[in-house]
Amino acid sequence: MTARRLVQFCFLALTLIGVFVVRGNVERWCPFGGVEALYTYATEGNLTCSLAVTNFYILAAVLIITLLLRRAFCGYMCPIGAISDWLQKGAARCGVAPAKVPVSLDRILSLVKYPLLVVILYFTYRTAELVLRGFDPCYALLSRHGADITYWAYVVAGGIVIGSLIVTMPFCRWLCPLAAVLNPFSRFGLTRITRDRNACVDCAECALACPMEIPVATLGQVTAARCMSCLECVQKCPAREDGAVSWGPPRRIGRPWSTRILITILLLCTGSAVAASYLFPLPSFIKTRGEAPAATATVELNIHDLTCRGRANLLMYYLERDDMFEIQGYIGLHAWPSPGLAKVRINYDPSLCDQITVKRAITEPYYDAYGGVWRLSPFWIQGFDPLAAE
Amino acid sequence: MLHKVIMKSLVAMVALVAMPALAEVREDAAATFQKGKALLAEANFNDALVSFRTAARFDTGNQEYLQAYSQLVQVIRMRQDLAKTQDPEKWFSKARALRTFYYDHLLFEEALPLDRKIHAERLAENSAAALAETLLALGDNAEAAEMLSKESSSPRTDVLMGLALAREGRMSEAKTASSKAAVSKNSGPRAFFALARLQALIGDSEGAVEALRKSFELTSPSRLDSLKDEARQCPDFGALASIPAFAEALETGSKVKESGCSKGTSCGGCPHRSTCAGSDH
Repeated sequence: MTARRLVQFCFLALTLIGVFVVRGNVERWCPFGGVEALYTYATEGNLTCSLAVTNFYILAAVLIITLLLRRAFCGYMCPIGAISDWLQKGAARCGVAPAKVPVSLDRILSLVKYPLLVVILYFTYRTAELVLRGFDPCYALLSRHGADITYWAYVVAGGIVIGSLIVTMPFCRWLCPLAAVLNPFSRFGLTRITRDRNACVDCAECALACPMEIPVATLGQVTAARCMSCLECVQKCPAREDGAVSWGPPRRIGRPWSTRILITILLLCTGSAVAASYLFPLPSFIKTRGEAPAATATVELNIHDLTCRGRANLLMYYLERDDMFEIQGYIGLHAWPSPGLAKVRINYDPSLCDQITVKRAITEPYYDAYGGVWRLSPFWIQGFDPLAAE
Repeated sequence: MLHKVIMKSLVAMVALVAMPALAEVREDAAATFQKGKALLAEANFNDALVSFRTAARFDTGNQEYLQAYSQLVQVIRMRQDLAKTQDPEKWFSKARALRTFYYDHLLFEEALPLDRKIHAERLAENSAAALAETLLALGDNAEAAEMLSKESSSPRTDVLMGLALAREGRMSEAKTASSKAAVSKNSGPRAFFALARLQALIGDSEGAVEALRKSFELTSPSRLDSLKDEARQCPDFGALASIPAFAEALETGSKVKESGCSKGTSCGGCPHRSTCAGSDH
């Protein structure tokens, strides 16, 4: 097993363990989730349901990886990339040779991902929900098949699986919206495949080996955005010891790099994203009411059952109540919704309100005049006894 | 090493002794809470409050007890404040909250003075229907019929009129009212509920069951149990009690989407809606 296969295997195994064993929300670690969440977070201060700030950290890591290693994320880390890649390799071993797509058709198909990205972002930003997730083939392949999934997702996932048997990585090349995001960054990627014309034996093995069908054999340097630094071309080159095909920063900057450096960069960036998400946990829900006064008071609470954005919205609804537990003036809510205990920071105007009022507003039942119903509070605050507070 | 073993054994022994005691406390709390509910059903607010507080004290982690207590505290305070409230808008807002509470707990006698005042001062659009409903719930059929005869016709008032007439034994008039009542989805679940009662009284058991089912479907999940309790206790459905279709109708679920998180009309595209305990009732 090559180093790339091992890395692919590890990331795919981690994803599958996360989905099916831990039964966690793996979507929180999807870099495309960061793209989808960006607009709502910037404009409304909260995250699309089922996404988290971890999406931003992993997106940042993937962008750094792309600026250094081009689309190495696709070739090493993406589970869909791994599945697609392995299917094709498996089919090739069984004698199914990958079909060569004409260059002109390949170019046209490569453009499909851009309008697809626009459509996905338009609907996601407009609704602040992952409205197209039910159609997402990745969700069909790597989820516990939630209630929102549609047959279309399975049809597309099936298409990708079948397509991967006959064409190399069709989804990654033509349809992946994350690839559309990464391509402009990848274009300026630091590292590249370099072909030394003097050492090259013109066997064209490098071009044949490239899963992205980049014509390496005719180029001096591979600066194509779709290059995922898989190094298949380097490995297949019979004259690689002579430096016919090598990988690294431009030759004028330094010597070729080894796969170890590539994997080290990948792991460093990913590890940093994971560490940053724990060390700097930005609130995933921010909402304010009114103008902040010159001096505000803050109360930090641990609240049960503040599991998601919907619940955080409900918490704000309770804070904005207009009965005897009304909080006068400014309210600023920063929340970190999560299963179990969720951290919450509430800013208020101390001249108009106190901590007890804030806590009671959260925990007391409330008459919803609009709906004509009494709403019993689903929240309880760790360490707060409403009976003792009377 | 030895002291650790001793400590662990001590903890285990304490747990063994405490667990039955804890279970007993929980049972006591549940019994006290039930007592509180019974007191509340008799409109004995203050004693019910004491019971709810005791239950919440016994079983500190029980949110149901705590919420019931906190809600009753607010209701008692609202009852005290209502007489002093001068602003009609604020008065109406408090009265609505109290009426909802009374209806949730089938305390129709408590709701009656509120409905009378709301109707007398025309504070609500459908005050006549609301008052008639409360009068009928209390068995004041003649007064309900008389009051409704002076009001303009609407699907809800027509049904309630028919109900009042049927209870008064004026069956042919009740049947006319029943056929005249154009109850639709827009009339709301209570109009269907009244229609079900009317049809049960005039002997149309099939129509009654259908209307009852419809009323449950149109009721929001958070209010469904209360309406079903009302149906079980309603004497108008006496003739249907032995019919299996009536029991089946009582199992009808709500078709109204209600999010437990955002309190919006539905959980929309929330990906957790199938698994989240707080959503998609």
